[in-house]
Amino acid sequence: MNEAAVEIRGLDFAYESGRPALRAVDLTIRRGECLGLLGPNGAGKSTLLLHLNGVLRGRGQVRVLGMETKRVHLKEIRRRVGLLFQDPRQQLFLPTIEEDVAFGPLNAGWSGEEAHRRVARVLERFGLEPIAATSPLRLSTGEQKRAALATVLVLEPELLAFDEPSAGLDPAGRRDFIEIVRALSQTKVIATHDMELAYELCGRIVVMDHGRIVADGPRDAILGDAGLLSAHRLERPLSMVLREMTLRDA
Amino acid sequence: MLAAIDPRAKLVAFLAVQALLFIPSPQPPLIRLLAVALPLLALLLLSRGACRLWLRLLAISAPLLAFLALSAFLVPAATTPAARLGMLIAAKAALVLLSLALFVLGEEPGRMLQALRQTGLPRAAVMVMAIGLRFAGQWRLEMEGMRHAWIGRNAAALPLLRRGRLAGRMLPLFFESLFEGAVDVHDAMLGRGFHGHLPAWHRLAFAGRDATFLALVALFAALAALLP
Repeated sequence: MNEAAVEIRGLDFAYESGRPALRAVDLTIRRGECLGLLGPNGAGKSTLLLHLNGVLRGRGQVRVLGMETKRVHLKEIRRRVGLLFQDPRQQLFLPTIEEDVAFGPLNAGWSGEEAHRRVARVLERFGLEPIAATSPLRLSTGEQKRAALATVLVLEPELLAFDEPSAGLDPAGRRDFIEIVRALSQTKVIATHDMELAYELCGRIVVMDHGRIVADGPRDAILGDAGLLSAHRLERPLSMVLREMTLRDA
Repeated sequence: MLAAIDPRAKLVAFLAVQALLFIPSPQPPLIRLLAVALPLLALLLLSRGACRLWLRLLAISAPLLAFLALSAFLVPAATTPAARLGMLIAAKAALVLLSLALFVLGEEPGRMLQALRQTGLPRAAVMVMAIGLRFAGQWRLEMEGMRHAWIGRNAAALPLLRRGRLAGRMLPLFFESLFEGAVDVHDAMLGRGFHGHLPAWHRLAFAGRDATFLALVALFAALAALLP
């Protein structure tokens, strides 16, 4: 369980505009861990996630599932790392949900029969069968999120990276989504502003600001530090505050 | 009925119509036009969706059709009277739109791309079309965002000059957002193992009804070509 799923050493990355997005990032994520990546807008959370399957490659060392994110390993890394984008509309790009879900398996070189079998299973698991032939752009945000998750999980990745997974969901959709993610046994990295979601799902929290990691530790220690959170435009999760108040009163 | 036909057979029908309309023949133009129009209109009766699509295409293309018809008056010393030539040009254009509505635009884009892929079109060309299709969806999303921003600022109530200035400021933002969206889609494709081509999903299989349809197309094309 303690084997590293992700090892990042001295990672620097700047966009073409010259704006540095990541500065000297060092991070190790153990297999099976659920890590919450918190920070204000522009902290570099999404940029860091994009490094996990080699969509972006900065200066420094990034090892994912034992492989460096070099061109020679990218195909294998992208098969084993699932990346869920903040806006599901950007994740879905084929004319129908079914084709979109099949895109990853077919790119991974699976046989047509195997791909059909897995796609059917994932569509059923996420309740997407009735809308399998529908254009992704015609679905509600909740359905789009589920479809986007299906496109990622169909490849049965070992590492899942979520960028703002609860953004745009209604309370019931958000709850459904949390339960789906909770049931996944893979290593998970969740970049979010949703402090409640991080509190519910993540055992370890990393806080980023201005492209740097400014805090890293167990959930209760980090989310219990109001001063740290406030210094980086974050807040303590309300449910944690209420729990503490209840315990204190008791 | 047409929806079930293999898109490759429909592409053949579309090309046959264009050949009949544009390859010069000794037949009187009106006879040729009627010979093409009658089967197409008969097919239109069987397809309500195509009928609506054709009417929409006609409405969108009305200025172009009018321009084409009027251009007949610019042809110096034509053998056919200009008014008649103009009518013929407009009628041909309307039939091209009708064949597009019946055989091409009414088809599911994914099936049509698959058909093009299976007919041997270079993979890169199909890829460009698929990306263009997705980009059209992105364009629609961004347009919707612009419309919301316009309504949210009650821009319609602004004086004309300020409205123009606002539109001028929104336009670069629109394109920036459009291309950012395209980059995100590309990242998502890379993230799921995209390496240069779209993999085939549902391969199209040619069935008996497709062969019957092609035989009918050949029969009507031959009749239209052989009419005195």
